[in-house]
This record gives sequence, C-alpha cells and structure tokens, in this order.
Amino acid sequence: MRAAARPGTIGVAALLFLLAQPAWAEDRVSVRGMYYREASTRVVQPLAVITKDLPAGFDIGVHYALDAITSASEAQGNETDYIRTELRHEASLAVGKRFDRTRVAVAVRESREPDYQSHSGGVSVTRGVWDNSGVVGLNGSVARDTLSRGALDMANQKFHLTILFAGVSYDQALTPTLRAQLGYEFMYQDGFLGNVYRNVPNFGLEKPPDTRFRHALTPRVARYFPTVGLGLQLHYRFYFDHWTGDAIERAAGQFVRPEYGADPWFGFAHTVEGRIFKELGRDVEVRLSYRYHTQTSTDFYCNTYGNLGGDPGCYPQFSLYYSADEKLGGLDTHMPEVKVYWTPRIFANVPVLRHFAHGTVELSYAYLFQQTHYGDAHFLQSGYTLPF
Amino acid sequence: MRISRSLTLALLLAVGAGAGCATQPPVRAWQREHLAKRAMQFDDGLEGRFRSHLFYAREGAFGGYGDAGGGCGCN
Repeated sequence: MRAAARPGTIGVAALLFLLAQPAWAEDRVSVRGMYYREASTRVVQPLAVITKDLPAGFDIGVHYALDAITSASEAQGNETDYIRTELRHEASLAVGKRFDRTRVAVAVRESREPDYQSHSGGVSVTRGVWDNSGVVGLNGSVARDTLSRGALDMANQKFHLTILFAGVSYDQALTPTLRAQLGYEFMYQDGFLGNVYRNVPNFGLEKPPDTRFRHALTPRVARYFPTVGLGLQLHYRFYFDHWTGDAIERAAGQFVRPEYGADPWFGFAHTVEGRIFKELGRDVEVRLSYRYHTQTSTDFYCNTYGNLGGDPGCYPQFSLYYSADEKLGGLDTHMPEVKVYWTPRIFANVPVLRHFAHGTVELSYAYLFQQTHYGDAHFLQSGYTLPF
Repeated sequence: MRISRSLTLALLLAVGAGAGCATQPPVRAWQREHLAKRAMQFDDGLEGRFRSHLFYAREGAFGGYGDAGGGCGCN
C-alpha cells in the first residue's frame, strides 16, 4: 500500500463493474493494459475480464487484475522519498439472474497486496421501465479493508477500514437521439482514513477523522447527430462531504477554519467533462474529451508542503486531526484525452487473424494537469474486447 | 394557501406525467438504433473503473463511475 503515490489500483470498482453488466450482455472476453506515469509514480496494470450468459437467465463474470506500482513514497512525510515496487492481485466473481425486465446480481471481490487486504461483497438490481426506454438501477456494497506498514513495522500494527456504498440511478431515452441520466451515490467510511506511510511534520503518522459521509450527484446527457455521425456527451458531478463529529470533537473545536462549524470534512467539488465522438468510416471512431475538476479544502486540512506555498508547522500544537494528503486541500485538475476505437474487419479474410476481426481495439492517451507535488501525469490505456 | 396551491400543481404535474408514462414511451423499441451507439453510452466499463481509481487517489471527491473506489492502498 504505498503512499499517496498509488493512483491506479482497483477496489470495489471491479466488483461493481461486474455487477453492472447488462442482462443482455453478450459473451465476451476483454484484456486491457493501463499505464500511468507521473514524476514519482509508475503504474502498470494488465487486466482480463470474461462475461458469459448461462441458461435460465443466469450470467456470470470473472475478472483478474495485477497492479505493478513503482513509486517514491513519502514514508518520512514531505522530507524523504524511497523507491518501492509492489504487486497487487485482485479477482472477483459476479453472478446475475434476469427476471423479465429485472436483473439481480451479487458479487464478491478479493484484493491482496503485502500491506493491504480488502474483501467486499455487493448486490445490484436494474429494471427496465416505460417499455424499456428507461432503466432504474440500485446497487450497494460492503468492503472491509485491513492495512499495515508491512516490513517497516516490526510490531505489525493493523488498521481497519469499513466502507458502505450505495447508488441509485435513472437513465431515460428522451428522443431517438437524446438520452439523459441522473445518479446519486453515497459512501460511508469508518476506520483509518489516512495512509499508514504518510507522516505530518511535528506529529508523525497522519490522523484524519475516522468517519466520513460522502455524496455525489451526477447528471449526464448524450446527444447523437446521425447525419454527420457525431455524438456529444456532457457529464457533471456535484460532490460534498459532511460529518458533524462527535460531542468531544465538537467541544474541542480545534479545526483550522472553525467558521464552518465543527465539520472537519466540510468541502465540496464540481467536476465537468465534455466528450465528442466522431465516426470515421465503418471501423474507426475517435473520442475527444476534456475533464475539469475543482474542489474546496476540507476544514481540518492545511498545506504542510513548503515548496508548494504551505507551512510545515501550520497545524496547531494540539490539533485533533492532521494530514499531509494534498487531495484534502483545495485543488483543480484538468485532463484532455484522445481515444480511438477500431474494429479490425480488414483481418476478416486473413488466416488466424480472422478470429479477431469482430472485436474492438481501444487505445487512449490522456494528460493530467495537477497542482500537487505529484506533478502532471501521462495516462495510457489499451484494450481489446472480443465477443464469442 | 400558497403551499396548498403548489402541492396541487405538483400533484397535477405528477399525475400528468404518470398518465403520459402509462400511454407510450418517448422512444419506441424500433426507434432506438442510434441509442445503441457508443456515443450514447454512459458506462465506461473497464476504462471508467481505472479512471475512477486514478481520481480517487488524486482528488478529494468520488462518484459518478458506479463504484466506491478504494479497496487498495491508493489513499
């Protein structure tokens, strides 16, 4: 588990991805490779997913992912880095059952790395409504994580984190070329919410509040222009945190900006993403996108990074909470991306390769602009999906 | 009084919308060709999953990708 410098690892996401497979999903196999690179971190992740419809309305999905992360971790706060490479293995299994317009699915997931283990399970229900022109979705999951400092901690102290997640969404086709979706997601986290390798100057191991309520409201709209083979999408997310703390913490009132009350997490964020899809002939499609994210600082956080305008001694001596996690402060990120989809039908008559002619090849590149000490990042993905 | 009028109006709108739903959907099954296009899909699948974890590790927000993030040492 290393540091703040771990961007690409996968969690409950895999579980919910499998849960979310549509009931009419074709049998298919997907393989992907992801590469993420910033100044002090490199993530390489191969991944494979297989989904298959079974008799009697059942379907099944399995996935396996391997994360190889090399990073300079901040085991000594902002002062000293050291290089580590670590592997994480993750697998999940999901089983769904279709009842007319309704699909119910359950899934389990296991993730293991030397200093972080996570077990989770979840359920999802989707139902087509209004002659299947709309879809209502509900999903939820529970995860239990165990953290440690691995070989760095002779005492082998364990930390725990419990995560409850719930989401509801409604997706509606408004016209033959216009579609809209509204979603709400909620997460409750209870346990150690910091990073066991990240220290705060003058305090040692960071100590964020141990409870967090998180909310995200996500409207989306998509429009297609058939005459020019062009599609547009607009995604928006409004996110906010809240937690009033317990009586002792309210009484202590030692938050950095008490004008917001006694909510140490107080903060919100706006995220907007626009996408343009353009078909180039029968087999190629290009997607251009731009994502912008802005957020306020949580109430208890202060910037201890002197080289980024912060003050290493900014936390008062008797602070209740302290963290050197920059993503808890105010920040903006920008991410332009280009992606190409290609169906290699040109191989349809080529021996051996013809078996791959009806799959889809995907290749994307994104550049992430960040204000934090991580610096800007390159993000490359490739994938191939083959129906069978 | 004003509240009662508002409630009545809201109720009428709801009944109207419900009645509309009961008659026919805005898009019939044979009109959905374009809705199946990639450009009309919101689910990013595997790509979205990796993106969600990237942003989970680098931003203070979460959500919009149908997953909770976490489950890893990416905090």
